[in-house]
Amino acid sequence: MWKRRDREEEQPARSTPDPVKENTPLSTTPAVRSYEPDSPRGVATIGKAVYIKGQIIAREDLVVDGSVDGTIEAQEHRVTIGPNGKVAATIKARHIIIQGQITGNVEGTEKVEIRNGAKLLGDVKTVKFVCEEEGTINGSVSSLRPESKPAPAVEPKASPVTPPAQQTLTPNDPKK
Amino acid sequence: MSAVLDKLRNLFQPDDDPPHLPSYRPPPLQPTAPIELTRPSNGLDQFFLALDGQDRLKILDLCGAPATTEFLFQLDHVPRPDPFYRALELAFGNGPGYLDRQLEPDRVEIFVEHTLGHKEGEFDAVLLWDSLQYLRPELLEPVLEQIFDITRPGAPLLAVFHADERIEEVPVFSYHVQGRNTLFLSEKDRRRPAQHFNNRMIEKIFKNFASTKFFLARDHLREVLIRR
Repeated sequence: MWKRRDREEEQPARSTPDPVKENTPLSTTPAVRSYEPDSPRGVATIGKAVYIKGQIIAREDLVVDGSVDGTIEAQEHRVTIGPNGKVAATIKARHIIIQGQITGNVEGTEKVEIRNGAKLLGDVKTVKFVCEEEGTINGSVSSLRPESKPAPAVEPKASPVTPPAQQTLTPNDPKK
Repeated sequence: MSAVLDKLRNLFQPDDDPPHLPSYRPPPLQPTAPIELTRPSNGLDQFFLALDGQDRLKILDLCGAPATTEFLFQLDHVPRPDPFYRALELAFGNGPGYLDRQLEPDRVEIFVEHTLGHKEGEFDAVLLWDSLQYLRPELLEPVLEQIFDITRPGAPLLAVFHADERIEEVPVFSYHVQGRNTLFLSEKDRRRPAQHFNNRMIEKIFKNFASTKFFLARDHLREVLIRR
């Protein structure tokens, strides 16, 4: 593929000059390096000139800088929607980082991050949620933690020393 | 020759007039720096008091500041940020004519349907912030009817109005909740309010709701806790 391209480049200039074209790379490999995957395994990349329609099941970290229409599943891995990414899909992954645009629901079993410039139109379910100042979300954000059970009818005996089971609040805890 | 020398000398003689002082030029008008301030909020405190003992409450936030979304999420609620202000700009513009365009029934209908088109009784609480003061009565009424419909009975709503009636333009703030009674305000824009809201008018516009409670803050902001 690359040789063919080289050959094309070696051809003499045509008599009528072509309009100036933006040279869009098929792969965004150099940009991907900046994502710094935390796992030693590789990162699958959907470049910004790629459009995929259908279901994507990833067994490794995935970077989407192109367009996807369908579903993305990477249950134990990280999915990054790059700044050029335009995704109309539901996404399920361990860790989801959004820098581009998503229309669809997002479920991160560990964490969902919405970075500056990102736009999400859909609901988020996750354990840890981070949204930068210039990130936009139009949808609900709910916890993936299991529903709290209703209080038992009979209250447990309170220990004279320790108070009844309560959530420990740290100084930075907003509940305080 | 001497005449020429006199002319040249005169050229370098100081004038009899006092030395010419450079005229005072006022510095060019600089746009005032956007306001950013952190302040306590009794209204917000009462709002969270009304939510105490409950979790997984669905809270509509018409400002949708990320800090507020994160804070409510950490409290184990379900925040629903809504780009209300952005939708207002898209529907009616943000120039001086934005209030006139609110008189067009078609625009009003589309705006209400698309911006607040949630299910009946879907929300357990609503953070209105200062959104209502940019709505003319023609838009305010259907918006409040819609908010009434999408909230459950007893739900607390927090609204903010600028209390200074003389001011022509008021800052449009982004409201970032930083604590149960702490707000960080950052100015995004300045706008002419649609009307000035005094306590009596606020009670009137929320006449279908169960109750209103007022908190006057230091910075000319009137906080109102409303019960659906």
